[in-house]
Amino acid sequence: MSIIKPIEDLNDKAFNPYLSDEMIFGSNIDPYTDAIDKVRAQGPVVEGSYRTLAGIHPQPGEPEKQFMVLSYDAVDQIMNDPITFSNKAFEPTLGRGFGHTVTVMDPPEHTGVRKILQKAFRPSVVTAWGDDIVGPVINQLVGKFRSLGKAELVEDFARPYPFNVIYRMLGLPQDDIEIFYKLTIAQIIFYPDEVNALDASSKLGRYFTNMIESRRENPGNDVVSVTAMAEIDGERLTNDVVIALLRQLINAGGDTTFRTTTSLLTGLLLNPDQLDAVRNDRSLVAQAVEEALRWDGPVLASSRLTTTDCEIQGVKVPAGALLHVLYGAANHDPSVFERPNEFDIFRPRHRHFGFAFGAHNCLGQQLARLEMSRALNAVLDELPNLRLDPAYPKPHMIGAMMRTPRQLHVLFDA
Amino acid sequence: MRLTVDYGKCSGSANCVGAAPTVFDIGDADQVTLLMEDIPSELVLTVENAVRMCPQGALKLVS
Repeated sequence: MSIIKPIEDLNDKAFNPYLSDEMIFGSNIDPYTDAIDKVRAQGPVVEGSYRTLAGIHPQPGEPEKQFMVLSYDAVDQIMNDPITFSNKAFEPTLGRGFGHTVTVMDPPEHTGVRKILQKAFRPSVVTAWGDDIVGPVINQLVGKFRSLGKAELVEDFARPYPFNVIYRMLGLPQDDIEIFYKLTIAQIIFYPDEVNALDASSKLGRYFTNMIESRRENPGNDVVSVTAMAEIDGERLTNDVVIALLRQLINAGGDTTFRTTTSLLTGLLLNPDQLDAVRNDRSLVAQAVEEALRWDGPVLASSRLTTTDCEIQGVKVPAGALLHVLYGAANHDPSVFERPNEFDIFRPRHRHFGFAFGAHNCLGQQLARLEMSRALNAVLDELPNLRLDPAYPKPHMIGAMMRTPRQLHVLFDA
Repeated sequence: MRLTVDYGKCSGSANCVGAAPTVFDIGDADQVTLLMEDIPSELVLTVENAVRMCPQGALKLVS
């Protein structure tokens, strides 16, 4: 494999993308009660902006007509009709940061590209990543604090592990990681201005172009090689599409997995009886992961654009409207989930929208499930008597769009 | 219980393979293959999970 050129830093060296999490995603402790439940009584679909309701700034390019999609059935209807409810809603935002990625495509274009990308994430590949990459990454991180008897699981563990998995999946040189991470965070920050997002996007683009050329010369079984070599009807994916996927991969696969892992750990640590149950019976790990995805999943609010005048669960919506598709509201719909705001791994199993659904369902969901299962098993195996550290306030998730606790201080028997 | 796939809907996301690898297979194909159609009682819960995870609603488990 030829050497890839080192990654370039942002022009604005002083820009710090890590400080703005709460500015971008909101500082709401409980948007389910404080925002969503306030409008849920008005119907399954309610005119207005979720971002306004939750008190966060609008996105660039938002149309005037906006609706919030709240009920389980309404979200389900949208997920199952990608023609009426278009992902072009993402063009002014992710479409400019990531480029022409599957997230901004509609069928039929989406169908063919998605099929190829699925091959890069097929079950045999994901299983091999589990042993070759995910396991070693988790063991290395846990090994750093296992003998200390205490840790802060957000920064010591949950945030770094999925990013480290992706670095290894891409085969990134160690020296490039710090700037690579900074650029991948910066590329979706369009507020208060978009200068750094577009700079980050173009620097990542140059880096990946180089990486794609190198893998085409010497392809392996990795994500870059598989997508760079893949063909639809005898034609390769264009560099733009492959680069857009790779730009998205780190956000879609790193940030979301990090946040849902913190949801899983927070839910269990706040409910020690459930933590004990899982510790003693690892067959419960899978349902604990599903409950974390429902209770406080990776993405609370998504977007769609209506392509025609339509009706969603009886509510008339005009063409050209921006829909705030609230996975978080559907996953907390009290007509489907009893006591929806409670974390309960023993609740009756039901389909949720933690990974969306339908044509645009999360491409990496099997990898995410594997990562979270391995992360939880490792924490339970390696940190005996794991519990919250009573010297710190009880943790809570924070954010209106994407959520995580600021800190998770724990104690365990070293 | 009897398991069926609607191949008009199956998009090959293979979430079912992840949930129940002894029942579903995909290999390098574009759509899943059923390794069994009559689901024994001990596998019903696992297969129900797989059915729920299908993003196209292509799977059905009926008695």
